[in-house]
Amino acid sequence: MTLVRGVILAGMVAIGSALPGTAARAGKADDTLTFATANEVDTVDLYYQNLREVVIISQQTCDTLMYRDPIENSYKPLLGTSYRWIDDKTLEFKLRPGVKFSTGKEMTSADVAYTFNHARQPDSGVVTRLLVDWIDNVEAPTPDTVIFKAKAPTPAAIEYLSGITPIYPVGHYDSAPTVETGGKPRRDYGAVLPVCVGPYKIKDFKPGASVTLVKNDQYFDGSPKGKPAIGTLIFKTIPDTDTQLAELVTGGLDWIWGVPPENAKQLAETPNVTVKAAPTTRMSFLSLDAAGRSGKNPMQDVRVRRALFYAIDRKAIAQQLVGEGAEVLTAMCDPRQFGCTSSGPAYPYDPAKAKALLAEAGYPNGFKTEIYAYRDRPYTEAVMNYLRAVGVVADLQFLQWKALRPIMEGGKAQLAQLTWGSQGVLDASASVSNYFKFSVDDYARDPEVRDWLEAADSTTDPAKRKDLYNKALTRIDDQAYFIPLFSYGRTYAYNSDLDLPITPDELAHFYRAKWK
Amino acid sequence: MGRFLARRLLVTILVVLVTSIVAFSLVHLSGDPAVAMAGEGASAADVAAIRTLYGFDRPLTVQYVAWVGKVMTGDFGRSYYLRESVMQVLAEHAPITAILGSLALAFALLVSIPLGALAGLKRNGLVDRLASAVAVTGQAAPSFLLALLLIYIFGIRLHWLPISGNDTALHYVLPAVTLGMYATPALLRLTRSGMIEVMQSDPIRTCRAYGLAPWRIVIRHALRSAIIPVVSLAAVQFGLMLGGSIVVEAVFSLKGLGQLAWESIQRSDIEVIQALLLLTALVYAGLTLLADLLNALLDPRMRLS
Amino acid sequence: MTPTSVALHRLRHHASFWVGGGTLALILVLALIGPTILGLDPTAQDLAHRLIDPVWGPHGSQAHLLGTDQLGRDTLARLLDGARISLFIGIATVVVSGTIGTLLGLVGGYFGGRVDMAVNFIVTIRLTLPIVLVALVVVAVVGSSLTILVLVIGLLLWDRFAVVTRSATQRLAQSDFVISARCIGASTPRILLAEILPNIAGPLIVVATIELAHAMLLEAALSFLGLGVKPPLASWGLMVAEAKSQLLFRPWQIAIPGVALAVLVLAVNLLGDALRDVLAPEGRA
Repeated sequence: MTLVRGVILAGMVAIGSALPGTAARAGKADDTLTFATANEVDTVDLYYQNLREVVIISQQTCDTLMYRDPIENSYKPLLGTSYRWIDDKTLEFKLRPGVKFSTGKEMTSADVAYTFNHARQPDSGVVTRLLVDWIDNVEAPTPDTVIFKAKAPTPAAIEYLSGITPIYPVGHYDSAPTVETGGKPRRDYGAVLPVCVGPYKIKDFKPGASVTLVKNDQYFDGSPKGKPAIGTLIFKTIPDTDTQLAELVTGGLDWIWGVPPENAKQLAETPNVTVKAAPTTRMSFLSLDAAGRSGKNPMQDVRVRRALFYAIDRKAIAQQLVGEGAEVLTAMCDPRQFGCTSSGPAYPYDPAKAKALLAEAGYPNGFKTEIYAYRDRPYTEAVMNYLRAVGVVADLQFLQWKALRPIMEGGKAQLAQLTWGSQGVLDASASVSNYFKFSVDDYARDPEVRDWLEAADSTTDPAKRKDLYNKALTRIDDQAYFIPLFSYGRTYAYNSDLDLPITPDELAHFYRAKWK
Repeated sequence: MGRFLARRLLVTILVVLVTSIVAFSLVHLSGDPAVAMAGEGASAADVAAIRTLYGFDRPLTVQYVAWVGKVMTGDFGRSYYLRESVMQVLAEHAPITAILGSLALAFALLVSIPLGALAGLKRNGLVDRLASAVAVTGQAAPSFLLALLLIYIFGIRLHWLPISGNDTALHYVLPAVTLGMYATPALLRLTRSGMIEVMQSDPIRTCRAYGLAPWRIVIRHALRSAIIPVVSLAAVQFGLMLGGSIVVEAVFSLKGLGQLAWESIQRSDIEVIQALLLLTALVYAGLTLLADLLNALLDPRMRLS
Repeated sequence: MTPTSVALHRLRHHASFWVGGGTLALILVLALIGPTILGLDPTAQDLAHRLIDPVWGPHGSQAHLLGTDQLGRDTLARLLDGARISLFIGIATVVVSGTIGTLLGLVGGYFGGRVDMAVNFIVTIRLTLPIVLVALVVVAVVGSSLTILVLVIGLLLWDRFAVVTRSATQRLAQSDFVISARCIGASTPRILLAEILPNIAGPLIVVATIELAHAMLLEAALSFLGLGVKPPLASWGLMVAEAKSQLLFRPWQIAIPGVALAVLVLAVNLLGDALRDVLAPEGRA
């Protein structure tokens, strides 16, 4: 855009701001549900942005092959009616007939093949490669059959195809603008507004500001998502949580999350506001340099690591600090993920035992170390205080993630408090395997664990997988390689007129909501 | 005068060059832009893919020179995150900050100058105590505190004013007051102190000795002299407010340049940051020039050498 | 009677001096005493007793006179502990920024021409660079400590000093006594420091008091970026910032450190006014 046009646009915005107008109204009266979070949304194409907000929006508008029912916690057919594994590496799906995109075009296997064959390209720019890198090719032999050819046995494939991989029509990305960044031209696929099958349609999208969705009256019958009841959904970005609260209380918003749990009770006393908490799949844990990547350090001694485990009152942190919805994490995975079991020791809060172990390891007076963190400073402070009580004095290095990641990758962190949401995938391969298969995030470097995990990730036999994950997780716990702390909870506050199921997946299923 | 302006222009160009180089390096030093783009939930493989795709793996000098080349042709580039041209992004965000800043400065001046002058004239009187209270509030209370209090009183309790967004003119009232209070203490106290000094000065005492009415003294002579440091500061203060507007824009959810700058720095959205700095440098150059010109007008003793 | 004794005499009879100076001295004493002498531990965390009201509140208790914070630490203890840090940050950064800014302003305002151009250049660069970006880089590259914090804030807050000094110096550069001093052969440093500086003490002191408060609040904001005071240390600015989410629900959390900060700022302002009255000679505007 040229300077002149820019100035003219600026002038128009200025004049528009000065005129009296009608602010968007929320609530039952307008059949409009307005919800807000603090993050800016740059695209609503789930292949090109993995923010939770975008998952929420995308699930209102874009159906996927399978649907993981959040309440019954089971997989249901959505755009695909049935599937079967022809062999270890070939997955066949049958598609639902008579389903139409928001443009009116009927969906066929060609669309499914087009979407996934685009996404799996190495230069597609897709942000969560885990979801598509397993695919070797997708074929569409008949209009209602799709064949996925995997590069290797992929037991979590169904999970990847449920809820986070939308289907677009053939030629969808043809209109992607060519931009010049990084010195070479590339197609900005994320700039294309999604066209999908879903309970809602995208009416308007202002990058960084708002998204408007309207009910799709042509949504197909017999969908496990039901039929949408609320007419319009509006998503807004409001950066400050207290402002979101103020808007909720005065009726400007109908749904927010991220209410500090300590304020939940008082907020619930406000008329017209319902407050509910629920667990999430986001883990908080400590990364310890057991392998000595950062050099010789106390974390290399298993007794020191176990001491730290005993030193921290994880129950107090989860229940009293993080608040309702948070749970103590007992293994390096989320309990809702397939394969997440551990037979390791429990490590109850026992500072005396911690001190004894430290003394045994040669640190009777504790030692000094550095702890890295990048979010939720109070949680790290709480951990630091428990450590200090047994003599381990940690100097906090609080950085932004983009500054911390290079440090983690470079193996320079003795102790760090990190979080991981498993990219929403409910399979242990998305959590524990991320940290213990000798990747840049692996500070344990245990070859046995790696071998078990590699086998578990690529076998299709569920019983065998469970057993292998159990072995790996048990050893991790026993050796205290990493210290799992808690899983985050989320406190949601919403308009009391809303009948909305609150689910433990850090998502909002507005398509199943209705006004009371 | 001509030489003065020419000098200022040269300085501005140099500032723009130096800041853009420094800012470019700083953005890369503050963290890995590929990680910022890929987001918190990205695996190492995701980040690596982004890095190659966006060309973050090229040497810094190459990236900088490429940017300069584009700017020379009038192309300020594209926001990685917002997927729009930088010009468009600025055009959408700038007017909001301009309106907010102007209203805030107007509020600050309207409060500071009369209050400060009166406080300086009648020291230790009621007005002086009030001025002191206003100054202390503005200094000790962080912007978010004032903002949330105003939201609570006027938004939640009284329902008089809207809370967030910038849909109507009314939406600017609370933010302008909050931001204005950010700038008020300095302007207020400088006016007051300037007034005190001037009222004790020889020329003014002479005026009084001649029997000139106090009000005429104040407005004709004293205020003029007292204001001079305030004018230079006001100009800079306007610019400083643009920085302070980050918090105000965040709390009131105004999509202005402050918010844009903050988010862009978090996301390492380099081309937006560079364009913003360019704009800021030009604005400051203009403001300091304006201040110097005003000062010369007010006090003929100050030459523009 | 020497000028010094005259000045001291006037100071002694200045109400603001006693109120402001007295309050500041009180805060200083409390800061130096610290919480430990009173048997309080500012770092003792107690997650089972978070966000308790002060003793006069509905669920307050005698165990924590001013209540507890979000990690269950005693507020009174942290208040005393934080006084030390806040005062240190405020004073140290004002010294650093005041020195830099005043020097630049004096030199630019007095010499004009190319020198002023250079000063203008430096000032504009400083104003254009976003504090946030600088802070993030410092944290990422150098890490964080109290010294680094003071240096960063000091190097970022000198612009108001420079601007005010420069404009005041420009006016004074043409005045009689400066010209006379030049005539009798006074060296430039002497003119700047002995003739001009005392005459611009007024606005300079005002700016100093403003930047002191500014530094304390800026430190709190920088904590969220990783640059501020490190736990378990406290500062009043940080206590205010941390209590933000409780503003609408437990206002005492923010009111207590907020009032402490306001009292400190008021004391500094009053003291500054008194000093300015005493130092700024009459009739030389």
